[in-house]
Amino acid sequence: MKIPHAAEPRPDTGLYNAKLGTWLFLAFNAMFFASLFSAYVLLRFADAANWPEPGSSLWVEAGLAQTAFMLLAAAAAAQAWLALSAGPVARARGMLAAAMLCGAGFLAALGAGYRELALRGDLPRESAYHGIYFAITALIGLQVLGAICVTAYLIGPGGLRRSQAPLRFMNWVECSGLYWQFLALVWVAAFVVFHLF
Amino acid sequence: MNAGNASRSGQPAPGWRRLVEGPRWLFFSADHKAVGLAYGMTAALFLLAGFGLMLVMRWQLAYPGTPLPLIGRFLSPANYWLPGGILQPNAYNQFGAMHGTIMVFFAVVPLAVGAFGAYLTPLMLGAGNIVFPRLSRLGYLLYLAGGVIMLASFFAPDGPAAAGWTAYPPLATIEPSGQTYWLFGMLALGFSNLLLSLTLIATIVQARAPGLHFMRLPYFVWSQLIASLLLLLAMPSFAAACVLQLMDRLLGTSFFLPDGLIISGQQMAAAGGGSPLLWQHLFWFLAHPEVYVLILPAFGIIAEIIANNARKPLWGYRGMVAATLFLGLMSMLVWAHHMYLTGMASGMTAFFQVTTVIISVPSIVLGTALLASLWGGSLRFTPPMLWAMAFLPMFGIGGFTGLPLALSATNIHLHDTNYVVGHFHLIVGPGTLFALFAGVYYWFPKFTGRMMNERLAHLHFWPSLLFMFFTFAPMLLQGMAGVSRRLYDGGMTYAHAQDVLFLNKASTHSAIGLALAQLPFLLNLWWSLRRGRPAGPNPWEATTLEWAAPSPPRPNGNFDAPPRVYRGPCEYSVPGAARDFSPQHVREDRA
Repeated sequence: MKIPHAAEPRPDTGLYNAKLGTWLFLAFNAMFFASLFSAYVLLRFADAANWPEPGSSLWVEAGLAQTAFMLLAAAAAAQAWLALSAGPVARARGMLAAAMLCGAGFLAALGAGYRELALRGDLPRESAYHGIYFAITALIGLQVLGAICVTAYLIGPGGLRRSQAPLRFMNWVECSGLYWQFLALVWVAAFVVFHLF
Repeated sequence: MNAGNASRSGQPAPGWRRLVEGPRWLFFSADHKAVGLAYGMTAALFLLAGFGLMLVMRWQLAYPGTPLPLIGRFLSPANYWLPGGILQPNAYNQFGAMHGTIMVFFAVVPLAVGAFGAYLTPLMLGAGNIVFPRLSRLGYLLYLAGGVIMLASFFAPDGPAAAGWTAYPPLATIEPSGQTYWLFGMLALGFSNLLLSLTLIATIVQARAPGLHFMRLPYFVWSQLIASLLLLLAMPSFAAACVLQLMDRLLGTSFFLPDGLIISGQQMAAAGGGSPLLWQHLFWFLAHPEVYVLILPAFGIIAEIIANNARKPLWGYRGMVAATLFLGLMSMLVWAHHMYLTGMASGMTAFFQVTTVIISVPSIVLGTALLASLWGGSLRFTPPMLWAMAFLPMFGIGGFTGLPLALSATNIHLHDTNYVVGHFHLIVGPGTLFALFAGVYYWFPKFTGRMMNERLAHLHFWPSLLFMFFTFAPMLLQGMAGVSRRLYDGGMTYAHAQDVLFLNKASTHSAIGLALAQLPFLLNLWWSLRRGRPAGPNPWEATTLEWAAPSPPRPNGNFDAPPRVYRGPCEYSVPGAARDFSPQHVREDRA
């Protein structure tokens, strides 16, 4: 017996399996980051005396660059799926590659920001603020790395299977787009929290 | 007969081959039955390990400072945990922490959700396999990896974790390397639970047979769905907490370390600014829903068995479903009732007290519905039914003992006493474990094509009921007398404990009796696999879809043809029907 609805959506739910699985994974991820943001809030008030002015110890330009990269990556991933629906694969591959590059740009800006903090002696162990900043941003960075790997697979070996199962490949691209969009949303939330609260 | 299960002569394969297709199938196949059986066998080994740790601890509590019987004399004076067979104080803490961790995370949940859930859910849905088979296999391998890391911690330089299964900082932050193993093991388990829950939820939503809409699902499937949703949404908080505690231990951060912490008379070299309460909130945000993950699959198993053996529909199926959904929602809103003594503001305490009392309502609805399902039924006291009937009063007692803990005024006196230990063990022991035994007896014919021996089943059941109750009920009395939990000497040095110290012996002797009572079960498993009476596809005359598959089901794929569903899951004794059960997949069954 074949597994049903691997490519075609199930009529009553309107979902194919991978999309539901992606949403469930994003729900897990959303709760994961919600817990970290809750930790930020609790630490903010537990260590209020030593908490720096919002954003004062962070490199704002790097943060803005990271935000731009993430938004561009999310847009590129969405465009990749739209391009597949319209026709030419080359445009879709280009958009996926753009998403990867933007992700790499995000990681580079993140690394530059870490270097700046390290040179100033603002290491994770120095204070609860720097600790939670590194924890949240590093975990976002790890997931961006994961998204880059997934996108690389879609351009590379995964893309080779496109001719055998075009609908399934399109579904994979859609799911990867959802993931990029989620990460962009989490980063924007993190950027706002670190720079305003 | 499955080709894979037949010997060359075409006769059914003997013994364990009836259960599995071979080690390669068991550990590497992406078939949900292989995954479920792998979870079950691994979890059973962990259950034995956790049980063994408990027996050693119980001996120390009953006879402090005396060597273990039988094996104590063989242990050298240089033994790290048991020199000369006498359990050491720090080893007691380590055994306690690992007993709790192993039992909750590596034994009961993998049995209830991994084994029963992964094996039975696709069958009950009429599906050929779980929706993401390779992910579910990866989930098992991550669980195994986490378990191996936990067991490896026993060989760490200073032994395993000793800060309790709750791993509260600052103690957990300063503990030796065993705690680091614990954290990595729990992270692996957390991702395993993500994959397990994700695949189960997706299967339930997407792989239902034609005609199987949600209100025709067996209650077992509903219970697995809600339990999986709880795992999916609550586990991330604990994963985050583990990451932060690892950073505290390995990178010198201070998420859980307050300012000015003094350890052994010296100020700790840490920046401070953290809060131990942060860990407690993140931990209990998972750990309270986790206890509902422990009990909901048990309710699911019991409901199927009661309907089948009372030969009538479940009373209030829709109400049970609604109660389970509400229970799942409320379980995410009660976590701080484990933290009444942390100095929370009275408004917060009041909020959690209210939500905790409210959450008892759906539990009572479920228990009442199951009890009412017996009324007017033609009861068959089969072995699964014995366990199911025992579950009801045992869960009732365990559940009611939770009410004094729900109310903060009484919780102040009972928190961290043996009362708490008695309460949760009475729910998990004679609650969940009885349900799991019931499930084994009920579905063993499906897994293997053989019936279990009834005489041995009775020899297992009656002593287990007696000894299970008397292992944990005395703890309630000790707790009410004020005896704290996690005391190495069982309260020997406290004046207020003297009158109830003898109960340590009662609990210990009962625990030993409980251990001996499992021998008929092990014998039954071995004997039934070899010589059990052959069972057809539906020996219990049940209505749900798994009984439409062969016994055992095909090693890959389940049904000869995809079934179609025409009715609800508990259509027993339908007026005008040809038989007293109307299977879901049979179109018309009139007299």
